[in-house]
Amino acid sequence: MNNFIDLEAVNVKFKIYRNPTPSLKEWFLNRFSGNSNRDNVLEFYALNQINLKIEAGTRLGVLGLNGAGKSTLLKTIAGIYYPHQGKITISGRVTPLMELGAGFDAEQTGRENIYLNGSMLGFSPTEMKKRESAIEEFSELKDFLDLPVKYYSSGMYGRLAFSIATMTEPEILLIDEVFATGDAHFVEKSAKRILDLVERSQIVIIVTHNSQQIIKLCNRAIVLDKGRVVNDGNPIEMVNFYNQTLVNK
Amino acid sequence: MLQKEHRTVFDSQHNAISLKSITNTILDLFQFKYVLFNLIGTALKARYRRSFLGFLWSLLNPLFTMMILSIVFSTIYKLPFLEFGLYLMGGLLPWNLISNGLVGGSLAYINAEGYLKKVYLPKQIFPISVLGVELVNFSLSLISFLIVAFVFGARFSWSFLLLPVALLLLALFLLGLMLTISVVTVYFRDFSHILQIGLTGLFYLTPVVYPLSFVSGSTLQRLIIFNPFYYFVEMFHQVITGSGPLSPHIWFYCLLLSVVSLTAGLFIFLKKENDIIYRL
Repeated sequence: MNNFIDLEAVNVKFKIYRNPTPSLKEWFLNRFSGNSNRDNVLEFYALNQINLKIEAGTRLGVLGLNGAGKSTLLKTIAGIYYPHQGKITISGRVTPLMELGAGFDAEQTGRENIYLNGSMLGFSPTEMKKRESAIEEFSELKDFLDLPVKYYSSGMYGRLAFSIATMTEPEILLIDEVFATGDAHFVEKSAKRILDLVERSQIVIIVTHNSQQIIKLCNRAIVLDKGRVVNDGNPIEMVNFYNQTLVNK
Repeated sequence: MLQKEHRTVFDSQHNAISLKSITNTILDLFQFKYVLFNLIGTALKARYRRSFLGFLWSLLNPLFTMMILSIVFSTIYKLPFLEFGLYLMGGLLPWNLISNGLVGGSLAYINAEGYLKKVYLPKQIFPISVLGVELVNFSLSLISFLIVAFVFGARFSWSFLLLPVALLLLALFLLGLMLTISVVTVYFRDFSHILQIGLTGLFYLTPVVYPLSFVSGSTLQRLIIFNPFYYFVEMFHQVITGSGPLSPHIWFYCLLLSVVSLTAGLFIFLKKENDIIYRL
């Protein structure tokens, strides 16, 4: 199977409304007083004319300061944000490893959440049944698995979420700063799991502030600044470029 | 889970409304059916969590409501208890479905913000899961009500066989409205408050706690004709009370309203589905 991701001139525009949802009164006042709410809207491009071709075998690291558009890029590829301009073509199943536990229902037990979360990743109950015991084992939750997740500590919550999210066979893997969850023992175990996943995936995109991780895991890197790709190439060169031009400016 | 080829295209140029985008809206629903079932199951469980009788409440609640209202109104109106009880519940059950569906639907995306901003899911899942929850509740209530009605001496009527058809028409009508108002509320949050007041008014513009014959010739009756919910409630009245012939024009209006509502709902949904995330 030939997996790829192709972004052509992709723009994602955020409008920040000083007042995101005007009440009807304000809306009418703005409409008819000629004082349009234009000055209340701050528009900016979170992704600006992104052209990016990612072929199978690529492990892409994304570098950039806070607010450069790294997470927006991943969320756009994952389908959460729809591009305002441009076109994205993706061949392959996308497995997002970001915002762990995003689809959890706090009132449900850990076991029930395995199925709920699994369905959001595209797995049927039968397919999750096969994975249940492996998730149970890896998360080390034991009896807690049958308690509502609202009683979990944040470490336990993270462990369950990580175990579910990584119990898949990804073609395209999107990782957003999810390297450390839980205690030292689990951090080590999950680091190993991530390495294993990265190896098995066709395409990996990693967002992290840890440059060493990018050098270690990636074979290509891009540098984002204010929503644009400012440089693209070999990870070591890109990390150097990033440190010189953006970090130590 | 190994599919032949999994291809996704997000193209800002080709998101116009077409037959293809409508089919995709439906196909996506099939692909994510387990999420839909899970969301419905979770909401139902949440409703009865930690109550001793659990699901029994959806059976007991309409039962007691019917007893109380029937006693009150059959005394006020001096109508026979059973006959009026059938009429009352025949209207109240669909009205509750309409009212709960619309209020829940208006908050569908706002309550799902946590999901929408973090995982990719087809947006239509959220209003549809709200509708699913209300349909399950409606069905449970209806069944318990019919059992009670038989105990009190109601007779089986062939018109009961039309219940699924009536329910389908109402569900499609509601779906269209919910697709619309769920989007509207994202842009104007005030709408859900306006809706609740509007529904209180519309409740009295729908013959539920009074028979239509009580207001014949009045201004109220002339207004009722313009209330789309009247036709659906009347349809259920005809099916559940089983008295008198079915009037085809009521069913025809319901069909027409369902088609119009669903078309408008789909149009608005497809127009705005990709923008919702930027407005939450």
